[in-house]
Amino acid sequence: MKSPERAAALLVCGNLQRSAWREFEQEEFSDKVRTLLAAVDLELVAADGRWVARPRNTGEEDGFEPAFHLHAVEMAMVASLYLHLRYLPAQASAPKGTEEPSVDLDDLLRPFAGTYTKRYLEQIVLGHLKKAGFCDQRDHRYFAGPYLAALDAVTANERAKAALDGFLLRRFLRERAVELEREHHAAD
Amino acid sequence: MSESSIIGEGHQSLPADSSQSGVLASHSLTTALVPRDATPESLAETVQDEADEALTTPGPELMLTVPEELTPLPAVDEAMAMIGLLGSVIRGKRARYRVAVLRSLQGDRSWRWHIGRLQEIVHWLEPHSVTEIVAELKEAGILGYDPVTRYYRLGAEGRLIAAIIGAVTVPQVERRRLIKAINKTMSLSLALGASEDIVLTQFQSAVAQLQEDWDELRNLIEDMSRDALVAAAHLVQDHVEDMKELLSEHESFLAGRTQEKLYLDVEQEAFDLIFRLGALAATVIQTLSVRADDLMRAGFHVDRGDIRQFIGEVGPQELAMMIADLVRPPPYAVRLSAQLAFDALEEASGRRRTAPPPLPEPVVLERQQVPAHIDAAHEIAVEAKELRSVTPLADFVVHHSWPRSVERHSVLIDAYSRYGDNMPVLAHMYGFDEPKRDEVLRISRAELQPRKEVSP
Repeated sequence: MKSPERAAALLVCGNLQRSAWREFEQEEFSDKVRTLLAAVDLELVAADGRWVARPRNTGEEDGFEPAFHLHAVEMAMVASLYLHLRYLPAQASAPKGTEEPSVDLDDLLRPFAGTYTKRYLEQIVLGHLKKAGFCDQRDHRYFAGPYLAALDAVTANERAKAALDGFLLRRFLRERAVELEREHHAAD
Repeated sequence: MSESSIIGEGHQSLPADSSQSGVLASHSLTTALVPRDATPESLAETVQDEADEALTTPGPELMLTVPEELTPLPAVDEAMAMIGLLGSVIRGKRARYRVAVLRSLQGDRSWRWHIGRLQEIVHWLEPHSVTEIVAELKEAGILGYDPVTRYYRLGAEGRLIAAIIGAVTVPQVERRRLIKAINKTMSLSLALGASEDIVLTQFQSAVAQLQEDWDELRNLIEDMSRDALVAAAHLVQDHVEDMKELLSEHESFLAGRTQEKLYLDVEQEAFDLIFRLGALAATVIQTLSVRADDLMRAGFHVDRGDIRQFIGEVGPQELAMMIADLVRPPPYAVRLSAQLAFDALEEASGRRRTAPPPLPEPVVLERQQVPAHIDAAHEIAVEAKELRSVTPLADFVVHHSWPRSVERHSVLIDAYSRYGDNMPVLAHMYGFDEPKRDEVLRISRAELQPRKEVSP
């Protein structure tokens, strides 16, 4: 029996395929699920063909130990996954296709290679993120998981754009300065 | 009012706190116990001692690392009298009064004054305080005094010192005006007949400022603080223009020293910095202006390589901060099936470790004869030599297929280069033969003409 209560109970244990749960298309049904989830400070989010529940707040309470806590390296890897799998395909210049965006393992690991080992990044960090639903691995390629798709795309894209714009400007001006210095040395 | 009428009697010294700043200082001056009959000369001596005491600080003897003649000290010694004039005005607790009095005198149209007139000009100070300051300036050599006519006057040094002090009577030196100011000090130095070394060091100082501008611009690019970067770029553009002006104004001075490497190096550095700074500042302003920024962004395409480079450059901490407040982990722990886990363990423990295939059994190798060398050129030479009649090249060369025919053609050329004297004469003709067989369409027309047998 697919009731709102059953859906809410399942959502605190996992995620639901939208195609298998057409009941959410009924406003009354989804509102009821939202209400039930909100009672325990969760919110209902549609993410990449799935329904997921996520905490509204991640505030710390005395004596509380979260099932998942993402430390800085894992958070950085989530950001990296977002840039590769969400931000880059959304760019106007990106080729449009029906293929699901994916990223090669090497593209994810190489920027961190100087700081962390491949084994740590692949097995510990990405392994943890796979379990948490931020990514999915098929062969050596990584795909967006429902919790990566559930990120606030507007805010995340704005921040990513600002950060990348700053980076591109810095790189452009830095290269121009180096070029001018090189001309100076060549003239010497 | 005569000079003597405003000067008190009997006291030779001033209270220690007679020159506190602000209102208190003014009060102290007006209430100081000034001798009614003291002359400006005697007062000046007292004040000079006070100023000397304030500046004389005991310390360890300074040691030179090279002979003194190799240092700038001799030149400075020669100028100490002039520099001392400046010091006599600006040192001590009454410096502000002396500077202010000089400003007032400099602005008066007259060139000599009785003490009474001086007290009128410096109306903002009590008359006897004016007398004291005038005495100090006279003692320092800034003001001259004619005892016959009883006139005070600003001498040449006094007027110059007053002008210089007036020029630097600003709250602070604006960095934007620095190179322009250095330019003018170079002009002043040249006008006063200062040594070339002095002018060169001033020039070097201006060039050093440009180098500082360059380093600062580079640092701001790394920080990517847009407002600070644009402001710095505008400042740099002003400095570049001021340096161009400096080089233009002192062109004749620098042109006269083109044989001296030091001058050339500094001038070259200045030109280089003008070019580099001008170009970089213009790029910064053009790039960061709102419209250009949009245009550039539209032109830039972010690709996977850019993202990799960005991630590698910013590092994990900054990257994590970018989305830290947006990430919400799931409220549940992923379920692990104990049955599946044990099945996987059983399957894994039953796996056999992969190993390379065994090496083959050793065999005894048989020594084989080296195949006889076949000299294709010799063979074709023999074949050609056996011709008894004139034979077209096409008939001789074309055989079986295109590769075989090409091979025979190449070998025949080789044979002629080695055994040509004993082979039929190769007679070249114009045009082509077209055999159209064995995959050959066309070949140069030639004939192999057997040589006549010569009787022994």
